[in-house]
Amino acid sequence: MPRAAQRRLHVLRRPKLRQSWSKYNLYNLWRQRDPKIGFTDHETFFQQKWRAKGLLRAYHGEHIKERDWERMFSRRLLSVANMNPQYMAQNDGSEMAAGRGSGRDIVSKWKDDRVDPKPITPYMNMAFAPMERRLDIAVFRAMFASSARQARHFVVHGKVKVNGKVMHFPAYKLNPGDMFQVDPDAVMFATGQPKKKGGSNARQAVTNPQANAEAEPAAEEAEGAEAEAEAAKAAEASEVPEQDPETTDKPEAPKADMKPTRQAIQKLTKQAKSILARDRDVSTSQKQNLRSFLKRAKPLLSKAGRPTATPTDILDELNSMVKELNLSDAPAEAAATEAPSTPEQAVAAAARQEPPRSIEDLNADELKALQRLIKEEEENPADPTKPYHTPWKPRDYMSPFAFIPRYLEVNQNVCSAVYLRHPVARVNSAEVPTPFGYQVNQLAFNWYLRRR
Amino acid sequence: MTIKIRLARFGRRNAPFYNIVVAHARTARNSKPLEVIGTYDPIPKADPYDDSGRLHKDIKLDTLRAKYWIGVGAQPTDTMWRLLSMVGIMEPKYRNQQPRTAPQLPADIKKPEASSSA
Amino acid sequence: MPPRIPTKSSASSASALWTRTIGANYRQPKPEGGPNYLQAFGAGPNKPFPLNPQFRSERVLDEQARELIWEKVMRRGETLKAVSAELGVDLTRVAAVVRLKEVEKDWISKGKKLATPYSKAVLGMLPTKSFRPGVQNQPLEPINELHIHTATQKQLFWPTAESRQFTREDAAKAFHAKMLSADKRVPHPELIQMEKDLLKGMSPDEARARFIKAAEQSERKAAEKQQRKAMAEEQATKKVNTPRFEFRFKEVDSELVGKDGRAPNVVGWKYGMPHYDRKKGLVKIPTSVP
Repeated sequence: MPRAAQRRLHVLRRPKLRQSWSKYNLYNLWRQRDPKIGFTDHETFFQQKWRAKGLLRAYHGEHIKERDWERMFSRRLLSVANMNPQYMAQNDGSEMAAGRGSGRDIVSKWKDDRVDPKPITPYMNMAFAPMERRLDIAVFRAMFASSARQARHFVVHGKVKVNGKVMHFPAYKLNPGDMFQVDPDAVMFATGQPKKKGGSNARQAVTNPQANAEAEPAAEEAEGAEAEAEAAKAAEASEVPEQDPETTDKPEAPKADMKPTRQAIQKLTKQAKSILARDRDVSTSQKQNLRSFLKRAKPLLSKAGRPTATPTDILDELNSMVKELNLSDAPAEAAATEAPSTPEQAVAAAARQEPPRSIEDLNADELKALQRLIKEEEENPADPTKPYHTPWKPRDYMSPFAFIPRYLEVNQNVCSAVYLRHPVARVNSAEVPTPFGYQVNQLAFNWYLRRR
Repeated sequence: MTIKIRLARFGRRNAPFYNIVVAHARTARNSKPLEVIGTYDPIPKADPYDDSGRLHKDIKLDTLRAKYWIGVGAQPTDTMWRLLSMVGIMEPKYRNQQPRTAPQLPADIKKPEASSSA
Repeated sequence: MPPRIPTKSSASSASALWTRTIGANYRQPKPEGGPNYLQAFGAGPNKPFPLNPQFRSERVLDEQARELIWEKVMRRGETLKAVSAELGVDLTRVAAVVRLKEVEKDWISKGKKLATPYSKAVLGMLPTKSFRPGVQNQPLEPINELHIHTATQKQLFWPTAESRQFTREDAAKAFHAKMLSADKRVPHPELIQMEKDLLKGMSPDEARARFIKAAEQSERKAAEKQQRKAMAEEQATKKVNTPRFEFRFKEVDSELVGKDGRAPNVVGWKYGMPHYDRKKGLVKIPTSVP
């Protein structure tokens, strides 16, 4: 969305809540106070209804014309009652009428100091339930788009299928049992970090200092093949000094040269072994670090393989890389986790081209962890052709908006969802996601009853 | 006056839809008929989720009434004759089922392919 | 004249301040996983809207739970009703999970790329529910919910004898002559029967076996009904193949025209009546996808 339009949608001065995952919307949601409509005598009933309807219509389908919504509106509010099979088996219903007036009534506690209010069924929160049937709103509710407007855009542009057929009407009313599918690329674009023009992740670099090390997606693609070849060479090279002690015929010079580096790497792998045992808590950002470290470790490793390289150079570079990881805002303990495991991973990356030594170094647990990391890399690769930041990460400020209402069943893997039934009200809860309580909804409901 | 079994066009522009009607021959096409005995949707449609490309046309017909009207001398139009012959109410009108071939040319005229290739 | 320096409004600077301080907590999902909703004004857990305590973010089934449901239905051939009752998942949800899982398997077999990173991230932000196979699990949601029928929402004055047992059956009849009792309208009438069997003193294993049998029977009955309907349609249609098209003749009764010839289900377009299909306010987009 253009910035001006976004500013208009998420006004700060007189805030309105929207169906959107914008940070401005989050801020508005956070600072929104109870509107307290009808608490004073200053407003007429008409004014109260007017204000309540304004508050809610700004959220519920603000892109839908008022006349269209009025046609959609229904005064019929759906609800369900939970029927306990055990109770139903024990009683046939006659117990409700039995002994009325003859002493079996429930004794009312009028004289008690405090009478607990009965839990209500918030029917009034269902005022905007017909809106949830719309295809674009349902796509937003299933978390396939970051706002209702974006969901509408997807529908109009043919990114959404209903029961396997492209449906380009955002106003299509889903029927219970309808399955809708959204193009996974569109979903990843809507929910992922944005990609900056020109390939650099400038914004990310600012927010996330540890991501600085990451190479530009465009550049890394070009490098990829070269790095792979170098890594293979490196694996061969590291193999040579490794075998030296056994076969004494080999010249001494390279062994002496590489020894400090090898020691450093061995030390790091030793640390890795201890930490990989409790590897469960490696977070996404840490994995991000690993990847960037890996990218830089590859050329380093190939350098180590060259006979001209001096060990001090390589050690310096390795140290600087580790230090860079320590500089990141992650806690020292986390950094310690990353640093040792990465050279080990780098070796493993080279190990894809059949290295005899490095695979043997790893025990079963480490191999499993390594396979997991490689699989993750395959699932979420860096791909500059995609319209979103790769490797994919959820966009900022997404988690406070993350919920999926009960009337939808979503399978995120295939970006598909089934509209199970219309939203309903139950005792103490209503399924329509609405930002205000039942008092405000009730006034809005009354507005649309058109008795004013 | 003769009675016809014919089609009356309804539907919209570019979306034809026909009522199969029994009417006096001289009445206007869409005037109120003696009886409506069915409908004919001439737009071919595919079955949902069928990618074979095979299309079908939907016809609704009260065959009992159609037989009755034929029995009392109603004359189907050519189109209706074709449709009624499909359900076996009418005998199909004769048509040469052989594939069409060009008439034999006299022997002294050269064949056009030969002249063009020369 | 010096260029005018744009100044930030107080509103936007307050917003920027919030983004740097409190808002920073909501920028990324929680590293340990789980929901990260606004914590304002003492809003309870899993309430995404601070001002609406009546809306809760409900748990969703995680990958393992979905796989388990698919496994039970498709591999072991358990009935939807039995799986629903065992795991405490709504009947329609069980069917939907299986349907979506089938799509997923189809994608995998065709080599289409799944949105795995998205899936992992989203499930990491939601409250999730998992099942352990082979043990009694806590239900995900109430499964035996009765739709509140409009006819039952009115208050009736219905005098009956005090000596009479006024049951749910009678109540249904009082609301509407054709209404079924609540015992028959709930999604799991077989569960009620099972509880009755248990009350009679039947052993739990036997009652359960009977329940599974009843569930199978009801599902078979529904399938047969559907099949019969399709068969009847097939029989009423005569198909004539031509090289280009298939002509489908459907038998109708042209004499059901009503008293004045204007009954709503008369065959064909009607004479002397306006056709309102393009009127303002009518729905002109598809209302269903087959």
